[in-house]
Amino acid sequence: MPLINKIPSELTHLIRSGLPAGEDHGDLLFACKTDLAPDGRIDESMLAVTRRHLVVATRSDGAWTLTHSLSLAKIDGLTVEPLVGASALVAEVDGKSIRLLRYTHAVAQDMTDAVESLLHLIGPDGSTDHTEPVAEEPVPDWSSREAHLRTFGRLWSFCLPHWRKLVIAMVVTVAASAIDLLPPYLTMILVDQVLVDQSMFIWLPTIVALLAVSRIVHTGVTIISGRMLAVLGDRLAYDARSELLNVLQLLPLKYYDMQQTGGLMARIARDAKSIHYFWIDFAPQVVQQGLLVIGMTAVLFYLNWELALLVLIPIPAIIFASVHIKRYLMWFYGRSWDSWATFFERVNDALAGIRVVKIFAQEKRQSRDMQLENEKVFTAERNIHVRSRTVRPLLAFLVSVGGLLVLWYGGLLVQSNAMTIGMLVAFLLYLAMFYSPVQQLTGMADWIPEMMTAITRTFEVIDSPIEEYTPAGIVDVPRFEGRLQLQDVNFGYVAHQPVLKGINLHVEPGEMIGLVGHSGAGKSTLIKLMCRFYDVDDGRILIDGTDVRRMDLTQLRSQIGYVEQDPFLFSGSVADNIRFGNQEASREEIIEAAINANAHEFIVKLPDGYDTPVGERGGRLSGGERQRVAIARAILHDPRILILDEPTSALDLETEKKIQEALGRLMEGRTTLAIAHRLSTLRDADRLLVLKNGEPVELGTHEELLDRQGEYYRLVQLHTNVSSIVGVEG
Amino acid sequence: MSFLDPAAVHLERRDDQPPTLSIAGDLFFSVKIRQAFPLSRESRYITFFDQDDEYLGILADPSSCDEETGRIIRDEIEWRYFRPRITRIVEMEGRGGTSLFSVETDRGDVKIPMRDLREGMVELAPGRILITDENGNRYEISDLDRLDRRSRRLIRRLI
Repeated sequence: MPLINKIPSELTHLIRSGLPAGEDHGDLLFACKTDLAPDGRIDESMLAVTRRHLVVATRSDGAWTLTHSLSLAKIDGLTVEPLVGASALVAEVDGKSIRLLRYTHAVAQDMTDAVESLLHLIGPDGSTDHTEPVAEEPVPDWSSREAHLRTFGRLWSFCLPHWRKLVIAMVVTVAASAIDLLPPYLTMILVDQVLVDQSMFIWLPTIVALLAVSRIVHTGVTIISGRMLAVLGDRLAYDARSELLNVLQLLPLKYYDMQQTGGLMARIARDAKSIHYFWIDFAPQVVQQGLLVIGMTAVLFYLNWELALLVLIPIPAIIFASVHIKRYLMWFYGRSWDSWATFFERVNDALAGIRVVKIFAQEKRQSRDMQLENEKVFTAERNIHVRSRTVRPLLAFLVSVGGLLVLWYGGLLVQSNAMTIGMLVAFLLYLAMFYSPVQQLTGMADWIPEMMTAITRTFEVIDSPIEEYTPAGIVDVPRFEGRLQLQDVNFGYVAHQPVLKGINLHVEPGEMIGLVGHSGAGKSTLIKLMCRFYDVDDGRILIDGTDVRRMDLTQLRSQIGYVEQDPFLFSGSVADNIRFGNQEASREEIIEAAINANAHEFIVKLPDGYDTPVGERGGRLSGGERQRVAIARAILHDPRILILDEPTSALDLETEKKIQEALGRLMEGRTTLAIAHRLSTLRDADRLLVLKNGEPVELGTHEELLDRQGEYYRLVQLHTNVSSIVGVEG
Repeated sequence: MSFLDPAAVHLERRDDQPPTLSIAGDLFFSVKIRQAFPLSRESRYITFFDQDDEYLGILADPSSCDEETGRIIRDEIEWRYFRPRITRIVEMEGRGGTSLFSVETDRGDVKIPMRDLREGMVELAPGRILITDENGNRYEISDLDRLDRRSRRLIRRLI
């Protein structure tokens, strides 16, 4: 619900002024801000809704004006009209269409939610429903800047189970920082008391030994803290990846419709790793370098406050330069990432499509295109390296300025006996150690947005709403009989753009229904609804009298079998793929299923039989072989309801016959919904449902529909003509 | 039931010829014998094909057959599936993207050229490794734990 919490007071007055006087409007139910004015300017508009009224206001030159005020009772309908690059909300009032407001895709989701709620208030027949709209579970918004704070909170929550190890690692890190401060101090004593004065020359071996011990202890402590943090970081990255992998399996299909698989892969591989970097590199570095800076500042001031002040002179310049150089270079890094991404995309395309490339004799052109991308990568990389190799020495020069100042003034102090040589040497040693953490800390400030973005993206996926596997008021249906009812089913992938309209169908157990229609008629969508990959917008789908939305999702899907048009096989052996839906199946059962799917014979002729790896996506098998393995998989799954998307690709007659036989065995005794492309399947179907533009136009047997000479008759005629041209037997 | 009855299956061989199969009295000459699960269940699920490579049937458990049939099945499997078992890794050399394993096997010493270790070495079960060299030849380590310490160390670097 796009409820806006803080509506400007002048707008509240304006909205109130747009409501008819003398009626009880109650509180504002919700309001939604959009990004276009009615005349197409980029400016704000506001849709505000009370229990009885709808008000639209628009801002122009900073001032809000009321553009529409409508009683909900008068609205007969609300539609979202898709425009190019934008959408419009249109209300039907007294037979007239009123364009309420326009908005870009950036706020489309908010508006879709708002329209949903409005429709809920108006009711299906235009009658106003005064009940409160149901509040949805709020989905955390991880994209906003303030969300970074929340991200820190989540990072802690990941770390909580391992807090003891983290505390120990941090303590060890602090110890390493403290030990770091010791050698310059010992060097001071060595120079002043042992080398220059020679009064304590006897102490030389002891001080050298102490220096050696401090180095050894420092090395040991650094190794321990490094190892502890590495293991901890890897464990945290593992935890994040595990959570991601679990969630990815449970996300609804519509989530994947909106995401590129490549992008998700990057989140698993790269972004989740950022949690590792945070705990291994970032947090300990901040602690260690921060402590070093504080500790060394204190020591420097303790040794000589005047010199210490000189040391601080170049620091503002170093901070300023580090921040700006980093930001300047970030542009070039961004360019480099982009060019690498395009390069990989191009190479991946060229390799995946190598057959097409060769068949069209386009090797040289492909090679040239890839070379072009390679050059872009070269340019981008060169730009970074040339610039970073320029700025680093410049930064080093700034650092050396501090050293020069200390040498100059320190020299004067030594000459006037205000300072010993040993102290000057110690000062210079501390100085060398001092600027490095300052630079590193400055650099880290710029790391934060980059790292936080990656970590935030990880949490974005983890916190996406998953499918509701066990809804409230669940009805237990352990074994379907197979009676299917579709009642007034309406559905659209985008709200208010229906793909299926008014589907009604009653299927008896064991009946086979063929779904027929042009491509885009809604056949595949109907199948997706049956599998509950999506939920209907209106109407109901019942199995044995129970709404599928009241069933446990696992129970429902475990009783539905789906044979796709181009079946997906997983990398693994043939046997692994056949037993995919039934992991408990014995080898005998696998063989039985394969025999029934007419797959056994070709499988045992493979060099490794059922142990043969099928390759990525089953690529080592032919199309007909993949089909039969998929049928065997469905047979072993033993579903009560079978959903079948018949392959459109023409196979050789022998294979075709084997697949048809196998499908016949698979359909036996099961309720089947089949998208049919072959005349033989259409003839065998008990009834056919003909869809046109998402609406059911005919229902009956093959013969009945032919006699009717309607849509089905035309489709069959078309099919027969095509078949006779390509010589495919129907 | 799609499986053959072991009591009705009999194999015999004459003069080193491919075997003759009798299924419930029907005779098939020069039959081919293949394993349905040659990697994961070698001892069971034996399939028979006639001389035209037409499928005849599958036997779930050949140990229930008579002694001669069992022996011929073992011989035929041994003949069809050439997969030397590695008993010791002598040396592993890596050179410019290819590797050369010098190994001792139950069939003699051999050098295995490998191009792609990820594809070429598959752990079928814990400690059981199938190695396919760049020419498609196959070798097997039946039980890694039974190899000597050095061989185990060399292999564990790769899997």
